[in-house]
Amino acid sequence: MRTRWQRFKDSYMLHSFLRDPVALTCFIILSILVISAFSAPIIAPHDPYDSATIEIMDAQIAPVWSEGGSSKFLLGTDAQGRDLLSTMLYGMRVSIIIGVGAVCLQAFIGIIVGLLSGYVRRLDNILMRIADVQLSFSTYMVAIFIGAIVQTAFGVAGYDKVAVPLLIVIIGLAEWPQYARTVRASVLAERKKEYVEAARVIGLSRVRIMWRHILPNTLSPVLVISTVQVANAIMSEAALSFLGLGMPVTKPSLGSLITAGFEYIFSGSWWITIFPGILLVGLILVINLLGDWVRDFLNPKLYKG
Amino acid sequence: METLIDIKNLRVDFELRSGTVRAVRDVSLTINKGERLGIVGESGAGKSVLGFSLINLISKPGKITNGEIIFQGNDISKYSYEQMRKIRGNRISMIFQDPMMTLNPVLTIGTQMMETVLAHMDVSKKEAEEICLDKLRKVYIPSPEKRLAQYPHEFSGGMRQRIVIAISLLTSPNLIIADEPTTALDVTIQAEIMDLLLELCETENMGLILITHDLAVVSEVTQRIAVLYAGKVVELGTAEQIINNPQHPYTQGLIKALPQMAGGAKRLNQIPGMMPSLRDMPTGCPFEPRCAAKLERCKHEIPTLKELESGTQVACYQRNGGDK
Repeated sequence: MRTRWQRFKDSYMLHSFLRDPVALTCFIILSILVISAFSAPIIAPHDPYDSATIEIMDAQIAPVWSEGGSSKFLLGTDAQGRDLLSTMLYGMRVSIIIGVGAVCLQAFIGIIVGLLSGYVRRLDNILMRIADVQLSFSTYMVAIFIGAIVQTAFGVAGYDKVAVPLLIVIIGLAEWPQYARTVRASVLAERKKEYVEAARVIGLSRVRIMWRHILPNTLSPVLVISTVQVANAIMSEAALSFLGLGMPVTKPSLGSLITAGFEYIFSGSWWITIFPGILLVGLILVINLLGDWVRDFLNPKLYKG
Repeated sequence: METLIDIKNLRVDFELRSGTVRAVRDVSLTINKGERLGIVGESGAGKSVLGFSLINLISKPGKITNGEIIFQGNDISKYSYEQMRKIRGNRISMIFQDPMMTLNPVLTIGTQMMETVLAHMDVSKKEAEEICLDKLRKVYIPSPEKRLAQYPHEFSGGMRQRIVIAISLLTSPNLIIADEPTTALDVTIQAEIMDLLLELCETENMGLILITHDLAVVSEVTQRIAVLYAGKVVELGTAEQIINNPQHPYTQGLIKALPQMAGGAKRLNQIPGMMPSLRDMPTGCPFEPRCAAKLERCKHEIPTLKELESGTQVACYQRNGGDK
C-alpha cells in the first residue's frame, strides 16, 4: 500500500509546484522568514525584550556598512538602543502569530456561520444580515473602537500583556464575513449535488452530512482566501500598530517598529523605518504570490485545461 | 407470500405558487418479500417521485397528501424525520442513476461505506470493515482491501455503480429501490450491473423496485411490471404478460416503440403526442388524447384498474367494461 508520503510525492500538486519558479521561490523565502522568526530567541544576536542588556548610549547607530556603523549591530539600532535585526526578527514573530491567529479565528467563526446559513435555510437570512452589518463597519473602525476601550480599561502596563490576543480577536472578529460568505456560496452549490441526496438516503444525520460530506467539498476556496487573509491580517495589524493601537513599542511588531522609526526618519536614522518596512512588504508579497499559485492550482478551469 | 411493502392510494402533491400539481395519483402497489417489481413509464410519469416518496424524501414543495405505505406492518408515510432515518439506508436503500454523482468526491470509499454501517448497526470499527469487505466481494470488486482506501475518481463508472450497490447492501436491507441504475452506464456494463442486481436479490432474498424506462431491462430482471402514465398505474401484471400480451394502448405503444420492434422499417414507431402536463390533466382518461382506440366515455370518465382473465390489471374502458 502506498503511504501518504508516496502519494504526495507522485501528486500533480507537487509536480506543478516544482515547475513554477515563482511559487517555489516564494515558498523558500517564506520558509526562511517563518523559520527565522520563530527561532528568533536562538538566532537573534540580542534580546530586545530584556531591558538590562539595552544601552541607551547605543541608540540610533547606523547599519554596519555606513558611516558610524558598529560591527556589533548588523542593521544598526533603534531609538532605544535595541539591535534592529533582533527586534525585527522578534517583531516578525509577533506579526505572524497575530496574522495566523486572526485568520484561524476568522475561519472558525466564518466556516460555522457559512455552513449553518448554507445548509439550514431558516438561519440563512438572519446570519447573512449579521454578516452584512459586520462588513459595513470597516476593520479599522472596529479595531480602533475596541482597542481604545481596552487600552483605557487596562492602562498602558496591562495592555502590554493582552495586546497579542486582543489584536487576534479584533482582526478575527472584523473579517469573518469573508469566510462566511465564501463557505455559504459553496455550500449552496454542494447541497444540490446527488451525493448529499445519497447521504440522506443512507440515513445519516444532518450534522454529519454537513461536517463530513459538505464541508470538505467547500474547502478549496477557503484555502485560497486563507492565504490572502493571512497577508491582510498582517497588514491590518501593521496599520493598527502604525496608528498606535496595535503592539506597544516595548514588544514591537513590524508595524510598531515602522512607527517608532518614523519619528526619526528626518533626523537621518532612516534604517529604523526602512528595514522593517522592506521585511513587511517582502513577507506580504510572498504570501500573496503563494496564494495566487494556490488559487490557480485549485481553479478547475485552469487545472483541467 | 408475505407482504413486504403495501402502498395504498398513495398521492403526492407539489404545492407550487401556480397551483397544486399532482405527480402521483392514487397509486396502489404491493410487493411481497423477495419480489422484484419494475416501474416503467415515460419521463415525467412520476416514477422517480414514487420511488422517493417511499422513503419520504421528496424534494421540497412535494408532499404525501393521501394514502399509506405499510412497510413490515407499520405505516412509514406518517413517520417523523428521525424515525424515517432509521429505515432509510437500513431497511430500505436506494440506488441512483449516476454513480459519478452519488459518491462524495473527497472521501474514500472505505469512509463512505463504514459511515453507513456505523450509522445503522451497533458494531466495532473492525467488524464494520469486515462487513464492507464482504459486500465488496459480493459485488465482485477485486482486491477490496486495497480499494477501501481509494477515492471515487480512481474507479471506472461500472465499478462505481457496483460500489454504490455494495453500499446499499451493507445493512442487508429488505427492499432496494433502484432508480434507473444503468442509465448513465454504457451498454456493455448495463447488462453486467443488471445481472449483478438480479443475482444479489435472489441470493439475499431482497425485494427490488426497479424504476426504468427500458422495457428490455425490466422484463429480464423483474417478475411483475407496473406501467405508470401521468402519475397513475395504467397496467399491472407479470413481466411476461406485459411484454408478450400488453393490454393498455399505452403499454402497446411503448413496446411497439422499441427499436427492435420496428422490424427493418426506416422509421421507428412512436406514440403520437405528448404526455399531458400535470397542470392541466384531461378530465377523462389521461391517455385519451393520444389513444388510437379511444371510446366516447374516455373523454369524461377516468378508468380504474380492473383485473382481466389473464390476471393482468388494466385501467382502460376498451379492455374492460368498455361496453357497459
